[in-house]
Amino acid sequence: MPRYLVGRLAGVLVVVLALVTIVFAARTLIPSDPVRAQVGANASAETVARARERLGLNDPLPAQYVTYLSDAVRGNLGESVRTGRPVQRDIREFLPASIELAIASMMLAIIGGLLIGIMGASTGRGSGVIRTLFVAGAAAPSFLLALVLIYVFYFRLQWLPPSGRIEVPDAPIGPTGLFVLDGLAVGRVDVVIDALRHLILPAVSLALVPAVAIGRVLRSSLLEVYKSDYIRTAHAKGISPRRVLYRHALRNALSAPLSMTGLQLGLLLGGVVVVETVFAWPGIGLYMNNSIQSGDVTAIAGVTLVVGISYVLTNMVVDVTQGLADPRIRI
Amino acid sequence: MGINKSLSGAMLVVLAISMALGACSPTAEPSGGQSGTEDDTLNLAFFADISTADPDVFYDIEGLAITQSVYEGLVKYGPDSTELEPALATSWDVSNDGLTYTFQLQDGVTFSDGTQFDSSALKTSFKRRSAVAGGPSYMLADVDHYETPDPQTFVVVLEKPVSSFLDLMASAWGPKAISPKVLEERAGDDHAQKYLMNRAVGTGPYVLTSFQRGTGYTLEANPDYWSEKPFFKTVEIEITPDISAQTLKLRSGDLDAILHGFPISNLPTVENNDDLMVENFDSLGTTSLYLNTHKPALSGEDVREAVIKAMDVPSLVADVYGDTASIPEGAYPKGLLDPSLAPIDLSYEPEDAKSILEGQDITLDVVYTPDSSGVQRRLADLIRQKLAMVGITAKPRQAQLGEVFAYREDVESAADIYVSTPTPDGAHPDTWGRIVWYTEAGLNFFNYSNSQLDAALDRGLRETSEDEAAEFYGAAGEMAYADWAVVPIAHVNDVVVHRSDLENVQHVPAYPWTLSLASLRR
Repeated sequence: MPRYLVGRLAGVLVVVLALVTIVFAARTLIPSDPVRAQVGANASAETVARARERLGLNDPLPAQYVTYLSDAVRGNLGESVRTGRPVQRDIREFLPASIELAIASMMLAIIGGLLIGIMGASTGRGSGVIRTLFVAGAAAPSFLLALVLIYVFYFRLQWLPPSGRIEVPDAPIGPTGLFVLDGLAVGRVDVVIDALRHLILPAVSLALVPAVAIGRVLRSSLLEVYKSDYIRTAHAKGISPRRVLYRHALRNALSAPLSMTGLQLGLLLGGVVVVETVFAWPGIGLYMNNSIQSGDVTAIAGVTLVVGISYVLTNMVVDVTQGLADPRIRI
Repeated sequence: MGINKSLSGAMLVVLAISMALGACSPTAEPSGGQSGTEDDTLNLAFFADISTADPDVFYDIEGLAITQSVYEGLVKYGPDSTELEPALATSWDVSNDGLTYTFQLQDGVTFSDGTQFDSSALKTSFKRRSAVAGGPSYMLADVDHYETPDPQTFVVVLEKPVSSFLDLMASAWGPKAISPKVLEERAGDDHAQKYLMNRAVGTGPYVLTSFQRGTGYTLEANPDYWSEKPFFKTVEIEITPDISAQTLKLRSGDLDAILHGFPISNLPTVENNDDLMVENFDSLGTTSLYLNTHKPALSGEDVREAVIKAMDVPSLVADVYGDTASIPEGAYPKGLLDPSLAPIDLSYEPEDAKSILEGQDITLDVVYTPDSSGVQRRLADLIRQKLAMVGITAKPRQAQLGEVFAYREDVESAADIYVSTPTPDGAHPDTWGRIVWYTEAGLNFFNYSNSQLDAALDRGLRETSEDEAAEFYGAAGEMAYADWAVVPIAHVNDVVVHRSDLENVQHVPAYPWTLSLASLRR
């Protein structure tokens, strides 16, 4: 096991180094002049030159790369042309919102995936309809789905808020930055409820696609497991279908869906840009959207790096977890 | 089947929890088409964060609702007007040589931190703008020195005459009075830029009490404001990047106004809604086509003129903007200069255009930057259709602003045509010509250059006689028109959609994307 872990870690480091290099190359090669866009049309040449100097944009490319690499190792992702603040500080401020949304979405996706997978593997009445509904929802672009949810649940039913993260004043910030957890920690039920109300629609928008993906893989996996001899034996012994599913079949069918979950988490992080924009959810997706609009290449590169590294680490955790669960994988 | 029953039950439980959460609303009453918020709170929305609240650094458009409400300058423009009005200055006098501006200041004005406002405070603010050297610092570039003979008199002495000086003082991005106490105590090593990034200490009718990046901002009425107190005690500005979400919130009553970006094609749906009103305000925004004179296809003036004449600009503008824009008669934005001094003709002449373009195999890369209302994309699409009728292949595509600003570095590889809607900093012709036509100007994206035009603009800037200056600016406009390099095709309005219970809705053409918040009533 330790050799397996070390091997995976080494692989992760190589991938991260490649990612940093690619992000730097993209940042440098993209034809963009965010400095002028930031300081304004009438800024004097001296003002523009000063801004470029401060941002290190006048140095030779190799020097910029070395600086970028060493800064990235120390967590310094440069200065946002748009906010004028260190990018890592911006990311620290916006990341908790995205983490909260991602956790909620993944929980919903896993629950939804289980529902779809299990119902899909059964032949009971209604399973096909429910499966069709989920697949139809997942087929819609997340942007459209988000707007439909806002229209139905906010505008028509007035059940849920259309945007933002919290309305309760003086909501506790910290230690996690996740309002649901922080509210629970200080016993503020009003904060927890308000945070959940704001979370539902964006989380559902994000969760649908991964739920269907996980559900489909789980369904295939379950159908395969149901063909096994030990399942046939369990049925023959008179064990109830529910017990067969939960105590025998599901556990052995989880390997592939687990991999899919890790993959979907990475894809979900990429999908937050659209959903956070529609719901005005103040996470890194919204931050990225604003940065793209203003051509803030440094911020775009910083967010890309953080999201990329998160994706790599998440998949490493999934791989290790699978290795722990299934010794055959570690060979 | 037993499995499906228990799973269906689980789904019902989840649905019930959602409904229960929906019932736990912090607001007692549902919105239901009425104004669901308190009467003395004005709810607005921005599409994006503002970069900073510092008036000496801020140089965007989104965010003017804040800076114009918490800070004030010496003079301002009146509602629906380009005429100057008193603000912190009650009156002003300009010397015959155009070098000395003497302002009499309002008495009894304090900053929101209690510091007294006087000429000395204003001098500190003005000098700070030059020291910060941000985007709008050019407005004070020709200042030689300041004088403060007494607390109510502020004198600005210029090195050279600047015919646009008062308009620059009235500009939305013009110099504002900032508390000298803050500038001194929070100076640090950056002239208090870090401190003022998310705070504001001005003399305006509102005070910035909350600045939450990515979420929104809160303004509270300034209890010590020297002039008429605003009706709305609180202004809540939420960041809502999506126009559909903003529209739903407006219809629900959770938003009081959409300040810009409302899709023109959706206006008819609003016009039949008794709860909403559409305001079509004049603005200085002018949709312009930049033609890259450095590209072989567009290197000839006759070809550029033919391309424009083939576009059928009148029907293009009517199709895209409806009655929210007008065809320019002059080379400058509406209200900056008498159109007869620099007239332009954008009539549709397809046969003349065809005869010039005959035999030329032209393909044009037409670029536009995205906007929430989608008009620039629609314009680019229609341009493609119109040019196809005269045998030109136009390929519209979207680009971000950063890419567009990089064109000047490699203009031969840049796009052929860029569709944009710039707005001048003030209601003076120099604020347009100098950013759009002048060699190496900030919004001169394709490095268009005409030395005689530059000279005319420079002469106009230094003229002390308004009529003489107008002649020079007229000449510059005529030259720009003759070159067909930057062609204004539409004077666009600022379209505001608001709840019908909002009254006294005032707008200044030179202050885009905002209303006079202090004058609003419910």
